[in-house]
Amino acid sequence: MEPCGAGELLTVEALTKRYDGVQALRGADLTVRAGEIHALLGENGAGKSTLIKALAGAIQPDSGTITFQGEQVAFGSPTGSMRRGISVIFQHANLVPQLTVAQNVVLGGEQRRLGFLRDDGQREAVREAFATLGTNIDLNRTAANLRSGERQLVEIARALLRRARLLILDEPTASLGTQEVEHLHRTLLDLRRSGLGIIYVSHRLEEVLSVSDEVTVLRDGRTVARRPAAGSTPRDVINLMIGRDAAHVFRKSSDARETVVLKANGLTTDTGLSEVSFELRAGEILGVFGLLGSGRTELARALFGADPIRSGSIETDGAVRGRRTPYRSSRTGMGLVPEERSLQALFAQLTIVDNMTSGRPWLYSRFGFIRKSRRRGLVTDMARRLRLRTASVDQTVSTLSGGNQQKVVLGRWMLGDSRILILDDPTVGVDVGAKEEIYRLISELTADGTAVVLLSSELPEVVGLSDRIMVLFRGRVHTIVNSGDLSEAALLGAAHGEAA
Amino acid sequence: MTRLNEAPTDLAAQARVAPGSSLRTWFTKPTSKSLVMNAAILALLCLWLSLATNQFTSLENLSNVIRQVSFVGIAACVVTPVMVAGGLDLSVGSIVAVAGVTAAKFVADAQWPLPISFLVGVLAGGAVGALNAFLVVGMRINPVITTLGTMYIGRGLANVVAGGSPVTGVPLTFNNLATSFVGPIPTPVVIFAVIAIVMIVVERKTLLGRWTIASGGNQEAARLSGIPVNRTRVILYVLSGLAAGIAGILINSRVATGDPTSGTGFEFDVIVAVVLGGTAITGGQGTIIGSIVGVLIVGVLDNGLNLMGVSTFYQNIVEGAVLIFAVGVDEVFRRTWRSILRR
Repeated sequence: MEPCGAGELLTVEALTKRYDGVQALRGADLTVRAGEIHALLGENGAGKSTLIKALAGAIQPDSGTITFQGEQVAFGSPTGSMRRGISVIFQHANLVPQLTVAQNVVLGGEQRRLGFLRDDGQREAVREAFATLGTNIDLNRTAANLRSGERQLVEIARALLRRARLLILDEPTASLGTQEVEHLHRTLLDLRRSGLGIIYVSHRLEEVLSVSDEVTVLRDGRTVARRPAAGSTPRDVINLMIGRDAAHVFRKSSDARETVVLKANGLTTDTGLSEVSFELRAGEILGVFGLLGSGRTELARALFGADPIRSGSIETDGAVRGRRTPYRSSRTGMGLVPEERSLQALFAQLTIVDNMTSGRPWLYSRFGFIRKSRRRGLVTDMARRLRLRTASVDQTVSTLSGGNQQKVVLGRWMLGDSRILILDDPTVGVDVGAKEEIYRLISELTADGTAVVLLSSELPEVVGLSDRIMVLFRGRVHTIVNSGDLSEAALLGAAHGEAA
Repeated sequence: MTRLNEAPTDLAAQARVAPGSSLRTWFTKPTSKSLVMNAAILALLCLWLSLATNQFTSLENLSNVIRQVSFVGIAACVVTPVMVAGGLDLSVGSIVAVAGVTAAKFVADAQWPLPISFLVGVLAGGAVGALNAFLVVGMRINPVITTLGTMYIGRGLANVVAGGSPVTGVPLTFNNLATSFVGPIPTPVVIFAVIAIVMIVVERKTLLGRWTIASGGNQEAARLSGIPVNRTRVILYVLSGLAAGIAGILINSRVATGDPTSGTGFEFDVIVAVVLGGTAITGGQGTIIGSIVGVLIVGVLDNGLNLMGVSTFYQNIVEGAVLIFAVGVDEVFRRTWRSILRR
């Protein structure tokens, strides 16, 4: 990093942050000048969102410094960061859908006189903010009726009204069409000219490089490169993003058999999948890789019957069965480890026993009555097999670490032997030790003939474990290849939509 | 308590839950804490009343208290799991009237035998419960709105069927169910005890009980782990209707007629007792035994205030204050406890 010079708006030095067992940041540096668009890039889990949260005041870093407008700052809360002039615009716009555009723009900064709102007085300021952005959205429309691009503009207008000096955009184009993206980029270039600093986070490398001045690349929580955007190609950036030591990667030999246990034909859903087809064999691990919004989680849910299918079909054991529901899927030997552990998988206030036995009640019940000792025995044996770190199986799951919680969810579907396991990002928020153990469990399972669909945002995981890899791009199958046929860089390229 | 071979490495988790003591694990549950607190409140209340009044400890008075609370108690035993599963049933008060009027009509006008008429009354309650289940689970209408609606519909139906006033021509034997005894124990108390025991067994020993807590604790997780969430909720609403029907038969038998205004405000008595007993309004937490203690607190308090000659208006004020106090203290206690743990 070069030393601080004039015109520097923000300097972040050696920032570290550890979340329960996971080191999210290990020394991140970032320097943004006033009047600059700065791209912040990195793989999933590289630490981008943690860094942004630290700047937004949503989390407190463990060590390191943040200097903003020449002053060292420590944000105790999002309000503190906002008062200083930092505005973060998250991927899903934070608008109150029932309020009008004008009301949303002034939200939290309403001017009052004697306790009455001065809407008319502020309207002029709102109109000016939109004029600066070069748009004329009707201020009386309700936010619920706006398109995604318009919503983003409303948020930017809000930031302008608050006199933000630094604007942080997190994946701003994820849900925008081409024209909207162009408009957004023109707006950003205008704002840059007026002296604003802009941090731009995006997976769409082509786009972000075309509009940025500087690029900072994060890998494993560290800043690995800072370079001008001009002259950088997506390929260069991808290499910087990956550049990991090969020893880190987990390898396993294939257990795939002949029998096809699951076959998807032209799966199309309202959640965004279109024409997804593939086959899964007993003992096989099919890795599914894709970026945010590529349809990974949607595929997992559709396969398990959690979301309805609009067209296409799913065959298990060579036959299409009736309407799929999680209840039926779990009873026909399928298991789902969902993406959001605490929201979709765990009963936080219940014990390990209750959590692990919710999937296959027939193993320990007769005529609807629970056979307590049998249930406890099953869980105790499984806890041993999972190497669960806990004093007792009667402990509440909320007291467990992320890795142990994930093992409980995995154990739920290992009880009663699932034949097909769908794992949606199974190692997110899990420390390295537990990660290795989850990998070990997966290979034990496939050795017994269980077929696994491994959906993941972590490329080394997909490459290391899978027999075949399917890359999804915008809800469609981009490619299906044997593991090892494509380099990591080529796979990441494919996930970004490049022809393989 | 089984210990696993592995030494615990998660020190934070270990510190939070001391291993080896099942009593301590039991006490870390929020429901257990409020149960202990409520039992203490009940004991203090009884102690105070036995000192403050002469009649409270008499066998006749105590038996009277238990008989009084058994009606609300029967409904509370089943409304508790409905609320634990994340639902609500405001229609139980109107079901009391529907069941009573239906039974009285069948025995008075259609001349059906008494036991069959009572059964038809209970089933009429079950039918209202099934309607609730259809609307809440099948049509996905908010349970507060649905049961508020069926509360009005039920009250209206009872009035229409009864013709606006208590059903006449009911035989004297109609009164026997509520006033008779099984050995030394009043029949309503026996019925309350049987229902309580059955529901506690369901709560603790059956899959339905597990599914109830899971559905209310995290509905999405319950669905994704293959739990039949909808079936569970349908069963609970129907059971709630049947239990309210049984309470309705008893309440109307006591006044020896089918009264379309019977059970007015009954739903709130039930919910007050259930919430007082530690059931979370948001679901996922609560026990039947807790609700029974809640029912007893309200019953003893009512009885004590009566014995001391306090007017009903003041009784209302005291009961409302006790509800807010008991739940509020629990909440404040929990918050301070958490901040102590964090330090």
